[in-house]
Formats: sequence, structure tokens, C-alpha cells
Amino acid sequence: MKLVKHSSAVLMSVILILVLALTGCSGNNKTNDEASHANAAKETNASSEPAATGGDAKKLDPYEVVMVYPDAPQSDLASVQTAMNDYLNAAYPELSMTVKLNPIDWGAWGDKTNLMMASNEKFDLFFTADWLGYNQQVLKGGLLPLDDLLAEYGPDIEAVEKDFHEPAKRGGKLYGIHTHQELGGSQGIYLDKALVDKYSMDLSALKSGKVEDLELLLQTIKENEPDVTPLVAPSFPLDAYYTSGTLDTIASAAAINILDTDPSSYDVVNFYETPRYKELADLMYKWFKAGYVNKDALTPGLDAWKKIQAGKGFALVGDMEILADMEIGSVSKAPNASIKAGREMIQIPLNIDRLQTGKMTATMQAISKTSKDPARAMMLLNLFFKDQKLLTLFNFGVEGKHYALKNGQIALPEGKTTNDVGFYHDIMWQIGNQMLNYTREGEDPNKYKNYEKFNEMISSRAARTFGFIFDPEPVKNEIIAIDNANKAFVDGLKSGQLNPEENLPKLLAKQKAAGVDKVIAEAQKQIDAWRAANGK
Amino acid sequence: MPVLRQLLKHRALVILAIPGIIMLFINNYLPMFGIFLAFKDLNYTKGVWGSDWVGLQNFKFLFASNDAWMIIKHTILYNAVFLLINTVLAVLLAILLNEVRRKVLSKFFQSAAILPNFVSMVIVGYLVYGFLNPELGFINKSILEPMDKEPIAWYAEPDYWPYILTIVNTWKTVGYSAIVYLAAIIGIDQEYYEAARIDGASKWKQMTSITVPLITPVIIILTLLAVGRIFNADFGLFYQATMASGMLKETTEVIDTYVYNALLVTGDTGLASSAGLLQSVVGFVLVITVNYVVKKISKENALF
Repeated sequence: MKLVKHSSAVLMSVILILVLALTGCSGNNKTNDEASHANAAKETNASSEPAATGGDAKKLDPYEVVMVYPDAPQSDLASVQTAMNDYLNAAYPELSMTVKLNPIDWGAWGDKTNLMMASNEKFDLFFTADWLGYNQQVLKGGLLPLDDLLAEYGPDIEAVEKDFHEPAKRGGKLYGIHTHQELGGSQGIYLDKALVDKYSMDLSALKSGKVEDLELLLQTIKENEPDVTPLVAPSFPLDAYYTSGTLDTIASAAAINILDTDPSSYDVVNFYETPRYKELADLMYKWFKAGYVNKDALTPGLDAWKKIQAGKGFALVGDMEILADMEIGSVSKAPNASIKAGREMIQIPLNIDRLQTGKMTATMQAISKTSKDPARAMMLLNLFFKDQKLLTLFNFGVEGKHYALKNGQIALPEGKTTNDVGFYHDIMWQIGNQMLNYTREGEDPNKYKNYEKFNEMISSRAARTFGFIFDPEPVKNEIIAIDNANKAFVDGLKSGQLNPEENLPKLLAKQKAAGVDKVIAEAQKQIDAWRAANGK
Repeated sequence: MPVLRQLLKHRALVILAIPGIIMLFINNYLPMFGIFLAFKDLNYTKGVWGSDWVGLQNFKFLFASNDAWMIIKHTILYNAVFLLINTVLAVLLAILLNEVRRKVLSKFFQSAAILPNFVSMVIVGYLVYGFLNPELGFINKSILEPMDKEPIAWYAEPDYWPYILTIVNTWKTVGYSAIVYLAAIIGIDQEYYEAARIDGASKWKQMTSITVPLITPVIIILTLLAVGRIFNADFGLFYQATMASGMLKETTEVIDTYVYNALLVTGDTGLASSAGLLQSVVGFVLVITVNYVVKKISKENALF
């Protein structure tokens, strides 16, 4: 009897463990099941026969083009999709094409798209970028080469993007089509205009283009406005402001220093070893110590604009809006930032990008290997480069329901807010010819004219390495190790929480141990080969 | 055929077990065939079968960083500490729960103890953040500030984190283990205790001489299972509770977070498979070893 009791206790606990473990598993199972059902549903929706890709006169078989792109969930997605399909059917019956919008939430993008590719799920148009694993996708064979398709079905793409394909080529073939948009950016500072006026601040010092000259303004705020954070982070000079103003980046820690070096120099150096990096890290450390920067700057998901909105912040370092006559140090009202902050904001550019290889691969549309009819996908992509109506449907939704046109600009329908309108996103930069888009109410109606002008300026200033593409395969493991070494220091240095005197040497030592010299040597080797081949 | 006869004799039990066995097969055995991906350079075009074999190439990245040993050390030490503290506290908690005689109270305490186990790690991360936020957090604002102490930048100071993570892990997991032990304790025959009381044994004596020895097999099973996972860190704990702050890496980087970050850089499935395989192999070896040791010490307590 006793023995039975004893062993039954053991048995009972084992069963309990197993039951709990199994319920845990079945929880996972359910989501898997749902996903595969959804996939199955998609498969059956998609027409099975690839269409004949011959003459245009011949009526094509119906085909559903699945578009996969990152976006926040939109509650009215279905009605927009229906509207797009009605429009496609009415305007381009000869293409007999429908679209299926398959947005994926930003947080799940990496996992889901990897899985979709690995499991050979059928989809057609696919948003990609170098920062979303473009190289890996090409390498793994997830994307189709587009050269022939583009030549045959992409005349409107070629009309605006012809000169910018080189950076997206891998092994001589093109795998991604760059969104037609601004060719670069500008970094600088946003300031709360009310506070600038209150203390009648002199902004002329910022014509130097140096973020250091912000210090006096921050000090004024610190001394007089105890409730306001002078510089609201996450917005760090050691991000794009440093990179774009100091370097032509290559990969990982390899870069060419363009600040005060001979324009014909192609010496690859360490990104973290330039004098400017040290200067800016010192500056941030000083500012952090002085209490000019908020201490929770590194919290994931922290939105600096929310602090400005609440009247708790004064300045913010970041990417500037592209306005008419962009110039370093010029003070102008920033319309989009003012909308975002709910108060009047001014912007002062401190740096303007040069034409970089990386920018051309930062926003692209590709066609998946699993597409049953790549030609049709290319035709649809081409429409996004020529048809304003289609672009507007995709970007702003259905007129009257999701937006109203006011003086030729996009406004929210009466009584609606961005939260309850059902379809509101700013992903114009993901697809098509941006210059065809409407502007939003409050924006400069000439926004896209300004873009064209800005592009001329950027194009005229190509980076030394423009057109060079680094092949990371030979130093793949070193790049992982360097990235690992960086994680412990880079965020702390750029936010000013770590003392550069102490930590920068530590970072460099860790990078050395991780093989940074090998990466730099490899980059130099590839750069030299590229120069020899291109006569630079 | 004694086996067949046995099966036939207990056919009702066998039928009852079949759904579970199928489930186990689908969930735990089928995926094993993916192991060979660890040795391949997966290419979507060539497919799973057609991709090139690359030998141990995929394993290299685990040791590419000279931090490899630090990461492995962290993983094992954290898990060992968690295991020890968890077991001791869970057994204690189970014994205490068993002493609660009023049914309503007993149910309440059991539910309360197991509740943290169901809280998502993302939420736990923010609960911890509520305490440790450098500007508004409870500890800096309501404890250190009134005491006129300098606020601590928790997410930039690696030294505190071994303690913080241990506390969080204990809070989250101890209730679950306690319920398992409680189930074992309830199964103990009351006659033992009656006899002990008649002989005048104190509560403490009853605990050390009856309760603990009788639930030892359960403790061993749970420990063996945990030892098998000693190479697998709780990703949620080390990633979410630290808010993925890079500055804490010196004390908080474990294999799972390292692999995750490496995959963010490369997006390579082969690397993930190789890490998973390595963890499983080490876990397997450890389970066999520990079971062997247990068998040497006391034969009837070994798992197999």
C-alpha cells in the first residue's frame, strides 16, 4: 500500500509535468496550424497557371499579385484592397490582375519573411533593403533577377530610375528596384520654436554645421527650464550625423574617412577610430554629465517626439525634412515635425548627404523566387511608377473614407483622427515613384519639387565609393564578432553614458580581438580591385 | 511474446496513451530530421535537399567571438544558480502550501504562486523597468532619492544584473515547481505523519525525515530535466528583462541572446540550427552523465 502511494506520487508528478509541457506545445501548435491554414488559403486563392508572357494584345489569365511589405496593422485594409482591385479591373482590364495586400507588422517582419522564403510560400512583390537582409536574400536564392523583366515590362521605372540600378546589383544581376524618391538625406537639429523665441536665441552659430555649437542653447534651457529636457534622445549625433558627415561607410567597422582627407584617398580605416568619433563621444559624455540629455534615452521604443509633444523637450538631433533651398545652418519652419509635435518646430540642417551606394539599396521592391508569374508582378510594379491613382489608393486609402482632398492635398475626413480613420500610414517611401504622390495637408505643396531640386544637389556630390559593393562573405564570422563587441559599448558611447576615455580603448581592443583588422584589409582589397576595374 | 501479451493485457491504457504518443512524435521527433540543416548552406532555390554541405562551417560563428567562453560560462552558471535556488525554494514553498489547512486559503495561495509563470516575459521586462527606470523608476525615485543616495543607471551597470535576473527568475518560476512538488507531497500517505506525531516528532523533523526523502524522486526528475537544458538560457529573461541593453552584456550575454543577435546581423538559418544542435547535444550528454551519477549513488532514484 505504502509503496503504491509512493510511486503514484512520482507518477502523478510526471503526468503533471507532461500535461503542462504538452499544453505549452499545443499552444504553439495552434498558431502554426493557423498559419498553415492561412497559407493554404492563399495558395488556393492564387491562380495556379502562370500566364503566357507574350504579346499584350492577348488577354492574360487572371492573376493575383501578392504584395508583402512591412506596415503597422490597418483595420480597413480589406476595403482598400477591394478598391485597388476595382480600379485595376476598370483601368487595366487587359492585365487582368488583382492584388492581395499582405502587410506584416514591423516587429515580426524578419521572422515571418525568413519563414515565408524558407517554406516556399507563394508571394510576388516584396519590400526589401540592405538593412532588412537584402544581401542574404539574394545569396540564399530568395529573389529573382530582374534585368530582363525590367527591360520588357518596366518602361516607367526606367524613365526615372535608369541611372540608379548599379548599387542593387549582385554578381552583375539586378535583384531590387529602388523607390524613386530623395537620393539622400540631411541631418540636423529640430528646436521648439516657442522656447527659441522666449529666450531670443541666436542660431547663427549653427551655420558652422557643428553640433557642438548647440551647447549654449542647451545650457540656457537647462538653467531656466527645470522641467524641460534640453536634448531629447534617442537622437544621437553619433548616428547618421557622424556617419554621413565624416565617412563613406563600407561595411561593419570599415569606412573611408572623408573629413579633412585628400579627395583621392581610398584608405580604409576603422569607423570608431576617427578623431571625429572621439570628439562626438566626448561631447555626448559631457552633455550627459551636465544633464542635457534624458537618462532613459536607450529604452527600446522610446519616442522622443512624445516628449516634445508634452512640452518636456527642447531640441532633437535627427533627419531633416527636405524643404526648398536646403542649406547648412539655414533656419526654417519644419511642417511635418510641427504636425508630429503638435507645436511649432524649426529645423536647422547641419549636414547634407552625398550620393551613397547604400542609400540606393535602402528602399527597394523585389520579386520573390516563388512568384508564379514574375512578369505580372513587374507590370504591377511599373504601374506604381506611373499611375497616381493606384499609388494614392495604396498610400492614402479610399477617398471620402480615409482621406479628403483639400486644395490638392491629403486631409483626414471630417471628424476623423489618424487613430480611428482605419487606414493611415506613411510608407510612401516603400514603393513606386514618390514624386507622383499627393502631399499631406500642412506640408509644403511643393514637397516633391523640392525633392527634385535636392536630388540634383545630392547627385552632383557623389561619395568616393559610389557604386562599390562590398562582399561580406569572406569575413562573415568577423563581422558577427565585431557586431557583438560593439553592442557592449556603442550605445553607451553615443548616448553619453560611458566615458570615452575609458571605454573607447576597450571597444577598440575588443574589435581587434574580433578581427577588425581582417575586415579592414578585406575592404581595402576589394576597394582597390574596384578602383582598378573602374579606373577611379 | 511477453511484450505483445503485456500490450494486449493493458490495451485500454495503450489506447489512452496513443494520442499522447502521436503528439510527442509530431512535436518532438519529426523536427529532428531538420538537424542536418546545421551542416548545410541553405539556399531557397536549391531547396532543403539540394543545398550544399558545408561541414562544420556553421558552427564556426559560435566561436568567432573571443567572448565564446564568457557566454558559455554565463549560460551554465546562471542556470546552475537558478536550478539550486529554485529547487530549494520550491520545495520549501510546497511544504508551506501543504500546511495551509483552510481550503479557500490554500487554493488562493496556490493560484497566487503559479500566477507569475503565466505572465509574458515582455510584460515582466516592463515590470522590472517600472522598478529600474533611471528617471522615474520605483527604486531610484522612491527609495534612493528619499535616502539622499545617487540614482543608479541600472541599465548601464552590469554588476547588479546577476542578482536582478536571479530574483526575477525565482519570482517567475518558483511557483510552478512548487505546485509540482506539492502534488508529490499530497500523495504521501498520512499514516507516516500520524506515526511520527505519536512518536513526538517536531514539524521540522517530519519535514526532513518524511517529506523530503519521499519526494526526492520528483526532485531528481525535475533536476535532471533542468540539467538537460543547462545549455539553453531562458531567452525571454535575458533579452526582455534587460531591455536588450548592450551595456549589460558583460554579465548578461548568454548563448541564446548571442545567437539571436548574430542572426539579426546575418539572417542565416544554418547558424541557428547549428547553435540549437550544439545545445541539444550538450544537454543530452549532461542528462546521461547526471543520471549515471545518480544511479551510482542510489539506484532506485535514477530516471532510467
